[in-house]
Amino acid sequence: MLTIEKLTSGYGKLTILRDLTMNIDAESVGLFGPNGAGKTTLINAVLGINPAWSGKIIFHGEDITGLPTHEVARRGIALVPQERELFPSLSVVENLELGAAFIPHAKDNWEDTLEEVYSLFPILKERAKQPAGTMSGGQQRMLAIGRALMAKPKLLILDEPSLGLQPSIVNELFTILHDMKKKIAVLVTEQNVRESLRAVDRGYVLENGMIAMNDSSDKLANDPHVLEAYLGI
Amino acid sequence: MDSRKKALLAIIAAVAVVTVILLLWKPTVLIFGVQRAGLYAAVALPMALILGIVHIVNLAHGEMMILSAYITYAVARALGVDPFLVMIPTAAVMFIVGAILYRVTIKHAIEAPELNQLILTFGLAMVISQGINMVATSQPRKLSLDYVTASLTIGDISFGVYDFIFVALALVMLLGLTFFLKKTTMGKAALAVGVNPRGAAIVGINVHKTYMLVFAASAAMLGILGTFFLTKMSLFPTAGGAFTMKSFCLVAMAGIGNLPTILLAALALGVAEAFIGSFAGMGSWTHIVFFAMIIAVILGRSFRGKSL
Ligand SMILES: Nc1ncnc2c1ncn2[C@@H]1O[C@H](COP(=O)(O)OP(=O)(O)OP(=O)(O)O)[C@@H](O)[C@H]1O
Ligand SMILES: [Mg+2]
Repeated sequence: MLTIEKLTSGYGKLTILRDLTMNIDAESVGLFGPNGAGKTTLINAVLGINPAWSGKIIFHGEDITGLPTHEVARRGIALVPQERELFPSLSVVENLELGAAFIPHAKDNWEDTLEEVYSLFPILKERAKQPAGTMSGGQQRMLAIGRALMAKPKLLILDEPSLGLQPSIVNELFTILHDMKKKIAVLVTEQNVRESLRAVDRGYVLENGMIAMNDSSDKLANDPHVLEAYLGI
Repeated sequence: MDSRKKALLAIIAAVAVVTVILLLWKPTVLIFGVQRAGLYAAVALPMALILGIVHIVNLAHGEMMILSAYITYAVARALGVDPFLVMIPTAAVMFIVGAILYRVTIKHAIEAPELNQLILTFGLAMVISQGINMVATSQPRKLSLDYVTASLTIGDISFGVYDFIFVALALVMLLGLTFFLKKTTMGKAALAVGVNPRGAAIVGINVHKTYMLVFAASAAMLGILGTFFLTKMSLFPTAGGAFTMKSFCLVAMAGIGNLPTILLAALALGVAEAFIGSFAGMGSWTHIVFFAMIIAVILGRSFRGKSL
């Protein structure tokens, strides 16, 4: 579904990702690594938010390297950004509506998708008319996830979705992600490695802009390096 | 009662007091003031739209209105028809002019520092007014239309009624814009681009196309306004500068993203100008009223610790 080939990217003169290669099929994949490893940079390069300096990004057989962000989104990749990137002055329901309005395969029956999102996150229905900027941090995170789901993505990318969420909701979130992978492919970065290994099939460990490890979640969960560096054992 | 409501009540009370005083003392000031306010508000609304969504202060704003007035003038004279028949074609031409100006100039300065943007649009203003000067010379132009001179006499005061058309125009523009921004998907997308362009791109909105459409639509509104302007005012190449400055003053007074308040601000400016102008020999002082107002606004905001 998504293939990244020898991707190099960074900021200004600073190289962050070096010759990075990875692949995501119809599955759920975790992306782990210490702060500053380049997880967000990688995701932003896929979305065309940061330029790819060299290498290729291929989605469903189409080369999407260098496409503007809105074109990538319209092809079926939805992002829940680390910084949420909501529209604070617009209402909750308007934020959700805009999640679908410009995606060709999602805009026509967006009201049905809205009901699905509401049943996942009832608080969004309760607060439908409230300006997004006045929601609490955790509620905004739910809204950002809901907005991404409105696009009926083929691939859903979540950058640190559990940031700022209470543990019970994190738990629920990973159950949702676990269920979702039957329908859509998921790429998720997490600090919360233990929880997320439960929800993903496979994981990549990114260190210093390169893939340090790539294995099934069971193997990663028992790997001595992962245990020490990310699970704190 | 929260402070917003208190402020609103204070404004309403002040407006009521000023209205009663003027009504008894100088009724014509009120009439001329409201008429001027209509024109000012109508011109300021498209500037507020661009500032709120594209985040560009367009210093060529008034010049673009004057350019449209010249286009309507030239076509209406050449064909010998009423200028209002040329209004929609002029708006269409201005839409294209706006789109081209965005694509060729503004787009490249979107991420640039504000000073660069100001210099760019200031340059556009010079190019437009000097371009008009070269093609149409600096000789003032005016159409003489019989329907604009209609007047009304109540008691011992007499005034032109045609100028109220600017008030209607401002109200129609405000309602239209509000409907567009609040009720249509394109309008909501434009607001989204205005508050968070990166978030907008993530949900599939073409940010630069949105900027271009907003800029072009504002130019088209100026096309319509230019035609109305031409029916009443005389044209000369630099006539637009004052409207750029006054529009900016009103947008700053109202605060970015606050379209209805522009009407109130315009009312204050229009009535204040008419009031100063009503004293014999004070006519030329009306042009500095907006300076006084903008200084007051900036002082007021800095005391409340808010930025423009
Ligand atoms: N806009 C930027 N300009 C310059 N350097 C940047 C920029 N954004 C990120 N970086 C640098 O790139 C490196 C990778 O950052 P990135 O945000 O991709 O890390 P991350 O793996 O997502 O970390 P975290 O777990 O903290 O979110 C960091 O060293 C960071 O300082
Ligand atoms: Mg990150």
